[in-house]
Amino acid sequence: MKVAHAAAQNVPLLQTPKYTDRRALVIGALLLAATVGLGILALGLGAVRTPAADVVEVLLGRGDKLTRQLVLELRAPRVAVALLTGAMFAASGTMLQGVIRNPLASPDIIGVGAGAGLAATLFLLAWPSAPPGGFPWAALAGAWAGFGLVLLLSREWGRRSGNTLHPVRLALVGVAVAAALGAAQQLVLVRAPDGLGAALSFLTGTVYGADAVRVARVWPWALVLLPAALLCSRTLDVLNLGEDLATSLGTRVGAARLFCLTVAVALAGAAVTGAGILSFVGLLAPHLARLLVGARHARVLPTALLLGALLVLAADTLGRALLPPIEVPAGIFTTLVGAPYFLFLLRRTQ
Amino acid sequence: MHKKILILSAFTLLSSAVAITLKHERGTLDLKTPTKRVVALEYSFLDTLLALGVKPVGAALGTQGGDRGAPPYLAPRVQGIPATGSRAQPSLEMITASRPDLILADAFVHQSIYPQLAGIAPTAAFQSRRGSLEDLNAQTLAIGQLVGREAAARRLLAEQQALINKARTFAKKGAPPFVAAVATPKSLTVHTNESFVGSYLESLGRKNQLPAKDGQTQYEVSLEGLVALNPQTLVLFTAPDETPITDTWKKNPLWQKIAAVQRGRVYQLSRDNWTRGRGPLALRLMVAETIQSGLLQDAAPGREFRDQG
Amino acid sequence: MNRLAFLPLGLAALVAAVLASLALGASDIPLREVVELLFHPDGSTESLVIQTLRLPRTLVAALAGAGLGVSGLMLQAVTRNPLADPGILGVEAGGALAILALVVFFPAAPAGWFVPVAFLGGTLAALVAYSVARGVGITPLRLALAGVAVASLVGAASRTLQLLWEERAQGALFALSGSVAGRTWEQVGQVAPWLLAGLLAALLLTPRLNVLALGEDVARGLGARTEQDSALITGLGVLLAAGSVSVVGPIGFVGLIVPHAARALMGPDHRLSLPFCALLGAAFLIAADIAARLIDRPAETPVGILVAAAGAPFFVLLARRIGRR
Repeated sequence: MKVAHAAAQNVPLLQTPKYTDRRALVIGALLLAATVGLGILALGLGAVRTPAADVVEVLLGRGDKLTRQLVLELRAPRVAVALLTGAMFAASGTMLQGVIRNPLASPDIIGVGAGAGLAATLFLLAWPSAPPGGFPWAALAGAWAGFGLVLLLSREWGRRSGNTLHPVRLALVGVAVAAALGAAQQLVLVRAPDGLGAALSFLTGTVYGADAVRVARVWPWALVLLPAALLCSRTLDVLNLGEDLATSLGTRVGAARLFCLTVAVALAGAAVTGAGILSFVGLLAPHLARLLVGARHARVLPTALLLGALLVLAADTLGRALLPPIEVPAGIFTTLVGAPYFLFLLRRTQ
Repeated sequence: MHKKILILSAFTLLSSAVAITLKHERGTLDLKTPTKRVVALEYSFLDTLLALGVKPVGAALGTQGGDRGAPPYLAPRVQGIPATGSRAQPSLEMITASRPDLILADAFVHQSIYPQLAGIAPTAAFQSRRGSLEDLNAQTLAIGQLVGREAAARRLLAEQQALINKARTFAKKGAPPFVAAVATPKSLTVHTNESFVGSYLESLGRKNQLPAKDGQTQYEVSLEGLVALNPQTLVLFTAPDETPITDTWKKNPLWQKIAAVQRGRVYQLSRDNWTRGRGPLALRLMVAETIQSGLLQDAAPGREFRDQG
Repeated sequence: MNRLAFLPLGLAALVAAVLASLALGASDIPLREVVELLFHPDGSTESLVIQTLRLPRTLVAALAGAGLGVSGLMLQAVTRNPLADPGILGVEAGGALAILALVVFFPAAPAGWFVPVAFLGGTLAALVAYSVARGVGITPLRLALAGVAVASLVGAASRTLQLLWEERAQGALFALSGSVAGRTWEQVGQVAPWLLAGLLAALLLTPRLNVLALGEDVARGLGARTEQDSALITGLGVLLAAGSVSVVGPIGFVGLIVPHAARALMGPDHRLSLPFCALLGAAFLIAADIAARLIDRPAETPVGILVAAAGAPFFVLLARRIGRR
């Protein structure tokens, strides 16, 4: 095997006693508690002051009408979109890293995000009065196109042995394709009517203005795809052993890979329609998860989901609480945290 | 951009309750009864409401996202009105907290948050920023109906028409066409005959040199572009607390080549009164400025309407 | 065909681009009139349009294009990395962030500081990218990827500064624009000394560049002081990029496409390819700017968007080709 197994690099032995189910459960519980706590805090923060007690009242189904409106209609959708998209990007990144066996893989790095963004732009331009339900499908098609392009271009056609994708090369081709797609999107926007740019401003990665409509756009996808991702965890473990070993264990490698990739790309594409491209979340969350609970996907996936959700929620909450009324988009925060980590990873990747 | 005139229809249903149905840019609005609890997200709505004697429960008076707050002529009248964020970034929470029964939004600026606004209260979207004089007059009437001051609105419009008719008598017949443009520190944006100020100046009896281009009622031009247009009369809208880009351009010898400069017909009018207010109160100030400055008469601008640079 | 013959061809391309740039715009001026007015300005409107608007703008595009092209060529030679481009390595983003920070935190700083500060920022960004890539052995791909990540990090920092100091950042928007629209003689004067001196120095250093490009071992065997030379040439490459950024902002991929084209036509000898690269870079950016002002006339499209759209596919193909052994 030429490419060192990514996760196994961090964790020399797959079954070190250090990573037990109990540990994973405890960490999961802690993360869940932190997410819930931050979620409640986020529900209490905003331009209009709402005392914590009133927020709790509302959550218990009581409270006055104004606070209910503020918390349930304005803040809750925003928190929901942050949590959902964070979890979806994290799941997508975990699966991509598992399938491609590339520690640098992440939906925004390998062209999925940029493809979805370009497709969404073209879709709105060509069909301004389209029903809102069509938007995620367009993004999804774009996500697949972007990802397919990257896979196609980074594959080594000449050598059949191993069918490997060099991790750094894949990442660089991905970055280059993302740059090309992004430039094309810019060019399209220059000639577009001026409302379109405003309608798409959220694609740069922000949860500002997220409402019930956007929650409705994202959650059906999350409801189907996140459980699907969790169901894949055993397949991912097997795929991680390498093609030969996986085949000998009776796995139809090609089909398993395709299924996992489909789920991963769909997750990222749908997440983009919710909060735009939140850079580096899909990279950061799985790595942190593996550091915390080891390499087995049955543990990594749920942990990564929680971490991703927590990360985006924290970024968004910080972004609006830091210097109100100025809003710093969540995508900027995730880049400020994620890019240095990417550099750190790159430093160690063969 | 939108030549479409707002279609207004006020139905008196039964003798007691007066329900209002209004077609606007984003659909149809139904109000069971007129209301005075209004949030205004553009200065033109604020101006109109104040002219009708209605004090809104909230207005976009904030100064974030490039906004400079209410225009000075409105400043004394807006005291006590809660600021619900800026025009560019309205605070949905503050709007909710002011418990409006009606929100007046711009069809262009606020289009991406229209669903959220409509979720807070019935929201009417008007072409305010991109609207022509015709559009804004229709809006005055519509807002009058929505707040139950239709008679007052009709009176305002009649007064305004009388004022315009009076002003027209000052306008010099056969004077060369003008180019009107907003000058900010960053850019110069010309306003065509379908824009608000462009159409308004035409209604006063002067001809606008520029038609709309590709559906854009206003667009940016460079110095080279302005020289190519070579206007005979140039009307610049500037703000007293800003250094307009034209101050840099004046240092270029090309500036002297512009016919309006050679003729001494460059007028500097207040951006605050002209392009930010756009309501009945602003319109009175605007008429006064066109006469005082000498613009209508095609006379040399008075001292305070000459460039100060 | 003799390679030397390409040099006059490059020069001809540059002259053609300059003439077209002077002739085309909000109103077109016939070519014969352009030539006449260029040498005998008569104070007419057309003459003033050429002298005061289109000429400085064209010169800025020429200087920045030449600077970016030569910068890319030098960085590619010294790192022996075909993907080295001041944009990809984060140098341009670093320079732009430095100017933005200068304007935001020291509003009184004179415009003369822009180039040195951009040089500082660009150097820092390049150093970070380089030290990351060196971790387990530097390869062209790793260096490029590290550069892209640094550029994205620096870009996020720039956006944060812009958001938090909206008013003050206005003065630095030109350094983030990727456009040559409205550039003045004053701005030409600010960067021309740096860029011209840098281009001249680059020309003088071409023999050493040739030695370095052979690889460090060979170079050392030939008696070159490789580390010193590498540092000097890298520094010069960063300076050229910084000079360009401080007047037009980040314009990606010029430093990638142009050197490759120059080498393909002129061969590996930098004494030939470097001057050709300067000519080609200047002609390329001027031509792109002409397209940028015609595409939505009379409104202006930032030339950086056009160049990125044209250059990024090339980046993709190059990234694909480099990894293949």
